[in-house]
Amino acid sequence: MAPVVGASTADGPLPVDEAFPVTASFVKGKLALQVGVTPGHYLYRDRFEFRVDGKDVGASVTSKLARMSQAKLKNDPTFGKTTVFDQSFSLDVVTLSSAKTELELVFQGCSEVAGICYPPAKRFFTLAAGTRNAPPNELQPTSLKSLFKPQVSQ
Amino acid sequence: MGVLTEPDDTSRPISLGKRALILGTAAVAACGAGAWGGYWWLTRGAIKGEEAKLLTASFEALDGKTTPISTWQGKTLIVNFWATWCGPCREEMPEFVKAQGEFAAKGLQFVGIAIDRRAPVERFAKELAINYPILLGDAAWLEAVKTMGNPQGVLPFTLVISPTNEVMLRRVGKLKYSEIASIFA
Repeated sequence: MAPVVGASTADGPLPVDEAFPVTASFVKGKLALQVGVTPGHYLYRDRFEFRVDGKDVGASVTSKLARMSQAKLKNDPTFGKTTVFDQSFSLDVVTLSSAKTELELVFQGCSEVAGICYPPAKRFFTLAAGTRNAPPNELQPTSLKSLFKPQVSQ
Repeated sequence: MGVLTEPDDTSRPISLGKRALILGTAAVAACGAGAWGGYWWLTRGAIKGEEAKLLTASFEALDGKTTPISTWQGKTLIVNFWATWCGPCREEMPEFVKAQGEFAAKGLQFVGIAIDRRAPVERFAKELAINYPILLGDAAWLEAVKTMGNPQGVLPFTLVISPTNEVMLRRVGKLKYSEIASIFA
């Protein structure tokens, strides 16, 4: 089997932000996410949560996720066929109207090569007032913290 | 597989018969990467810090009772942090059930600490007929395990602790039945 480049460090699993680097961009009134998936890792489609200014927008976003070509079926020994992303993808999250907007993203994934799973991680992205366009990476997470949220555990 | 290499001798679990060789050696560490079902590493050494707190901590059990880890003082204790949302965790647990049945008479005591909600844990425990105690841990333990040899706070994570409170093995990733059996060889 060919070596998996970047799958893990010599000392253990990658930090979650290296395994799944997420950046946000704001172009033409739309807030978009670029979700990175390092080879040998995957994200569960059904564990994503999206909130804009505290309001749950997950229903509209997850319907987009369901149609994405990068989505793959993984045979889970307990949960059966589960949809995962094992490749990076971009996603329009929402059209913004307010002057200042905060996007809250929760995601959860695993490393196939390391045989481990990361706990659910929460990231915030803030769009400052007056911003019209911002390329990827300019909307950095305002805080980086991982937490376990019981409601996303299944 | 890929970047993984075969484990060296120092990264294998220590049998109880060989344990005396490392007793009294503080923080003896051995790290490696192996191909036993995924990436793993482990270290050995005296118990300290958060691990010591773990041994004095109490958790809510599935029967609703507050249960201290010290309940199993004097056993060869295997503490497995897991969750139902963690596929590799669920995959290794049938081997834990087998090992608990096989080596209980030799002093093995598994304890599962689920970082999860009660309902899915109860369902899975029943489905798998888990024959060892399952306790419910909160998210703070995902932070605590970062200082126990699991810096990313991932699951599964397993500690093997001797009857005299020595850490015999720390494992990030799956632990196999054969490795458990080697402890009692």
